[in-house]
Amino acid sequence: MRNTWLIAGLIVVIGAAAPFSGLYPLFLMKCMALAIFAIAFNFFTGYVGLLSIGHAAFYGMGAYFGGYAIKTYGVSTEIALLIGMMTGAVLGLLFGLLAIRRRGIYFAMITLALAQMVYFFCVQAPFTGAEDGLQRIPRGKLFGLIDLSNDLSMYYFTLLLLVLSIVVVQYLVTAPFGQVLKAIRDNEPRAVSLGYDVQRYKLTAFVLSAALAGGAGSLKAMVLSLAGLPDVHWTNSGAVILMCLLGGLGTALGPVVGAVMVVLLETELASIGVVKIGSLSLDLSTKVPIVIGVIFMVTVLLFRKGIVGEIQSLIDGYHRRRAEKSAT
Amino acid sequence: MTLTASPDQSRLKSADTRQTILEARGLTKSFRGFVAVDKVDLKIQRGGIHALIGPNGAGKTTVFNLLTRFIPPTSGNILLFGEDITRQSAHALARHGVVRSFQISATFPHLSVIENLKIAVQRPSVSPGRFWQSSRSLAHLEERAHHFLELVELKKFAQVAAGELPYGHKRALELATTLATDPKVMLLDEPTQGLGIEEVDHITQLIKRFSKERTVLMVEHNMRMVAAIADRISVLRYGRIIAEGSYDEVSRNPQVIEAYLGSKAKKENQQENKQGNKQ
Ligand SMILES: Nc1ncnc2c1ncn2[C@@H]1O[C@H](COP(=O)(O)OP(=O)(O)OP(=O)(O)O)[C@@H](O)[C@H]1O
Ligand SMILES: [Mg+2]
Repeated sequence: MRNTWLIAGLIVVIGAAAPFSGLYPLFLMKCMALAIFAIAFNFFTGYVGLLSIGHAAFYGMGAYFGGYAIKTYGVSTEIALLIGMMTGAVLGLLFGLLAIRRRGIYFAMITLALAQMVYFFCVQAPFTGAEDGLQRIPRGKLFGLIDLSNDLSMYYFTLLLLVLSIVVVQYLVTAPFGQVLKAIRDNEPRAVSLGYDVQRYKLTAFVLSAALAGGAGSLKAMVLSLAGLPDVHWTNSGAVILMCLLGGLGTALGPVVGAVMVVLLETELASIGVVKIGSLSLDLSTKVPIVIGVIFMVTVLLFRKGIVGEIQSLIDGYHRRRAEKSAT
Repeated sequence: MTLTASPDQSRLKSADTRQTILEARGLTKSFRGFVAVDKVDLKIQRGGIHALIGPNGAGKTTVFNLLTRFIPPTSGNILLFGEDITRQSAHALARHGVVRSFQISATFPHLSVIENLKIAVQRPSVSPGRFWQSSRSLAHLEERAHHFLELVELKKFAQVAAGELPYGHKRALELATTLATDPKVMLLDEPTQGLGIEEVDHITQLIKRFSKERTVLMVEHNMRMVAAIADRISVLRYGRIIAEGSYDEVSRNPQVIEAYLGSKAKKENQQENKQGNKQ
């Protein structure tokens, strides 16, 4: 837990200063909502060891339901977030009941298939606004008191939620619950033989992860005043996998670093436009996925554990060598 | 097979009056037509050590998998204290006190040695429905975890990741975690396989000590060890029980002698590919 406070402190300091560095609060908030999404994904896939390709469904439906509630019924901000989380949890339970007993690629495929069904439902359903999406979603008032329509107020609220997510998830993975998850990932038959109901542990982790993803979705809807089909599309599940692999799966900071990197790359590349290399002219803004793909491949080949993962194992190695030295 | 030690006579005598804890009735398992376990009847009596022996591929591990519900039987029944448990789940059975070990050492490699033991001792106090439970709420279990750590003389290694332990220590840790769940019946699949002489002695002593108050069913190839500590022996061949009794009785049985001599050459061959493909 000591590390957790260090990380939380670091994020608070960087986060508090960031809006004054010339970066737009809106851009930063988008990063943070996606970072929470990545933290949610990492909590399941990083610690249970099953690959979900269905998390966009939780995120996207959280965005729609949270956004719809605040837009149509004028609920307060925290209620919209709770609705997003509930949406994620209920969907997660449905997905989980169908998929959690499967292993490896079968689990991944079932979550993908179910998420596709959710996507087609969203294309058809009237309340989602189809191609236009759900627009002009207000941010509401926190506890019905604090107006968040100002970007900076919303920014600090989002920062608070990000830090909260990190602390809660780090608490869970170091608590007995997380220890059991690690044990199950390490050696499932052994965990069974010691009396653990491993399916229920995995299912619980999946539902918690889905709930946080749904919360992140509703947060994003309020931040950008928009919930749309790209949120539920499978490529969004792909993006969150990418973030966690880039940053470092199973690490506390990896998802945050990964999310910032992906959003930065997307916006920077899109704004660079045409690049001339000799006689070759390349319009980068249309080739964002390809460039990100290449960067992704290089990173994964160079840093197998992701950026944060590699740094962490460097630090661990240093500590171990020092401990060995002092022991002799 | 040589007789180097004989089992405790007083324990043998009381064997027939003892209560049956775990029982298999006509237990059968076929894998796509291949019958690996064929109508096995087995009665494990309370207290003492029951050894299940037999040549490679006889079906010993499969019997273990069936008795602990890791795989469902094709037919037959399993009874625990006379109650039919054939339909129970593996983890529920473990909670009733039937705890197994595995032929290949089974630890949680990325957890430290002490964390491995904590996973075992904390089981009755945790549940996924209370995921918010703090480690502090389980502080009272530390002592118990350390007790088992000392039992297998791994105190020095408490903070080492289990995956980095030498093989012998891994097996000792595995035995300790099995013991730490406080089982009524312990099923050990080749607990001394691959160990040095000293380590075999240590593990043998531990099993013997433990078996005084509880019950052990053990698969073992080390005949010296079986002779030394087993109260009762069942011999399995081609999925069938071909002999049962004390070491003296079983080792004189012509069928058993034939099974062991006949499969000697084959056994040597199989020994090599053994490590990798069994659980
Ligand atoms: N899951 C399975 N699918 C198909 N065949 C299997 C399966 N498990 C075991 N068998 C077969 O059943 C037979 C008995 O195997 P088992 O592992 O129970 O033997 P064993 O007595 O434990 O042998 P060893 O002494 O080598 O550990 C073997 O022929 C094995 O190939
Ligand atoms: Mg075996």
